[in-house]
Amino acid sequence: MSFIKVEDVHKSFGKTGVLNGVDFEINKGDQVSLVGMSGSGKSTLLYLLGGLDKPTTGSIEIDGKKISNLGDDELARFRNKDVGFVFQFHYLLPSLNCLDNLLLPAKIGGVDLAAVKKYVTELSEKLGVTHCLGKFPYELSGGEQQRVNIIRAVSLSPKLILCDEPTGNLDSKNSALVVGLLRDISEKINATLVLVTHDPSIASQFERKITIEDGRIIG
Amino acid sequence: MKLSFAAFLKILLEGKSSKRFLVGVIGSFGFSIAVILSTIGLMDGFESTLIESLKNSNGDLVVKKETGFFLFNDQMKNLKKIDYIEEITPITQIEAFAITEGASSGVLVKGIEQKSFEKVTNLGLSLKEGEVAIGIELSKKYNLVLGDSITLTFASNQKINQGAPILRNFIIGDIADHKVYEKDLRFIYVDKEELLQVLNYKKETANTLLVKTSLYEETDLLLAYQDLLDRKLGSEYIVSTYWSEFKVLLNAVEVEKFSISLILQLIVIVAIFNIIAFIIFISEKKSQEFFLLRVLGINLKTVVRFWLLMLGFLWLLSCVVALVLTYIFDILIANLTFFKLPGDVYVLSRLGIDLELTDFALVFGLSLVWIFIIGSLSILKLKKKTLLQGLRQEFT
Repeated sequence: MSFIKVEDVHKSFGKTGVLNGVDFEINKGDQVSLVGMSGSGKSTLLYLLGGLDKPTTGSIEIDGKKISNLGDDELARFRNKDVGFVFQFHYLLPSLNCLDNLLLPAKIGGVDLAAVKKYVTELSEKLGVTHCLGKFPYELSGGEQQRVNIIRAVSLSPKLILCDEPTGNLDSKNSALVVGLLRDISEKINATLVLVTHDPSIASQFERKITIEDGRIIG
Repeated sequence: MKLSFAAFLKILLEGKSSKRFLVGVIGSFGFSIAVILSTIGLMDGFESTLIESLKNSNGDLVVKKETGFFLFNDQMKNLKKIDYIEEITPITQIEAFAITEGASSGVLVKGIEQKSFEKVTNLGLSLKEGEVAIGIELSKKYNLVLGDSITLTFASNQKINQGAPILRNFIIGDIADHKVYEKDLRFIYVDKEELLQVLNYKKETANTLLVKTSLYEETDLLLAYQDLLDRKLGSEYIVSTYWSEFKVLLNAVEVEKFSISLILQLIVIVAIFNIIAFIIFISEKKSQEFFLLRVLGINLKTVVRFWLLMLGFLWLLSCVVALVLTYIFDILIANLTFFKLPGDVYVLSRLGIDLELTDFALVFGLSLVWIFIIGSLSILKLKKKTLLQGLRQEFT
């Protein structure tokens, strides 16, 4: 049974159709890159998978749950427990230090903080950002901020990790590092990884590539 | 542990500009509420102080004869036996001149029966033979203290000395404080019997009767009772309530209170603009945070709850600031000469802020309603935007 099942999904903003009938399936634990030109609808599709919006028509099923039919409360719970987001920009809250930023999803979800704190501290060690935990986001470099962002995304061991151009703001060395980390972590926690990119070299690192053009899957 | 309101507030108010703006908004809103509270309190204070002062110098009802003097005979004394009348006291009052060293002033000399007068008016005066009690403003005006002497000049009504005044020296034995400027400046009390002797009047002569009833708390009942007593005493006598001598002024205060409360709405509107500016500032500046928190799993209900709590917090702090400012204003009014009123204009020489629970409830309640109306509009704006639209707009 597929982990992600997208059936005839359309999404339009006003009269503009962004997704025009998208169908695909992804299995549990797969690592997939989602590629396409700017404005092709890849980010919109990613956000629909993450429950940040609902399709105009069609259905999206994740882990047997039809998220296109969920209400605001259930969607919020789904985003908190089942999905980890990594965006191009770090999106860390400037008022909180890195450790508090990392614990934010756990606090929102009411999860045991001690266990999560232990987990994110271990991950920080592995990713080399332990020295950043007491610092505020503005005190970190771009690469460090993105690594902290990745740790926050996986802090509750989500089933699905969604990344929107996570390397778009990084140099090639840091890009390779970030993609490697994402792949390793998702493999370790058996999460399904969907990464949006327009960089062919990054897309080629994934065993499966979904190409989108003018709101339709072409490959 | 769930995300607390304090953590949400910390996120929302991060940055010096947000904090400074918040302090400014709370200050201005608190000040506006304080201005409204102080104005209402001053009006109420004026009304209640004047009424209380009048009651303390007049009792509940004042009886006068149309033709002036009457005899406080057994028939009049029997009034005390009528239901609800607790005490009566006759007064003989007459205009006179008070002469001190190098100055003189027109006064109203009141001859009183000390015991019954104290029971009716609560104005306890201690007068021995040859002594008078003068009002506190008169004592201040001429620097008169206890033990000083004062000469009272009465008009003579005797044919033999027609045109020649009666002069009599008295020692100041007490100072009366009515808390009504005019009374404190013009009233002089003397023992009734002594006054009647000086004037050579009959022993039972009086021209005013003060009545204390058991209905004093209920003004409506007192009005009905005044009507009843008026009919009972017949057309020769006029019965009036203790506040009737300042009725026009009290009515004017009521009208003024209403009109000023309308004008004060302008201050509220200015303060509301400040709050609108703050809400727009916060919701625009922090919309990234709002959307990010929602991406991380906060539902809209929680965001709305926290937002409303923040507005409630803002309102609460403004109310505390308003209470402190009102308290400070009250102290300033009581102590600074700058705030001393010209008593001849305002009747009372000093005003105090007198606020009841209903005043607080009204002012605080209305300001809370205003805040929540504005806050709800910003929530509607937040609800209108989907997460996807919000993220795109805020993070692109």
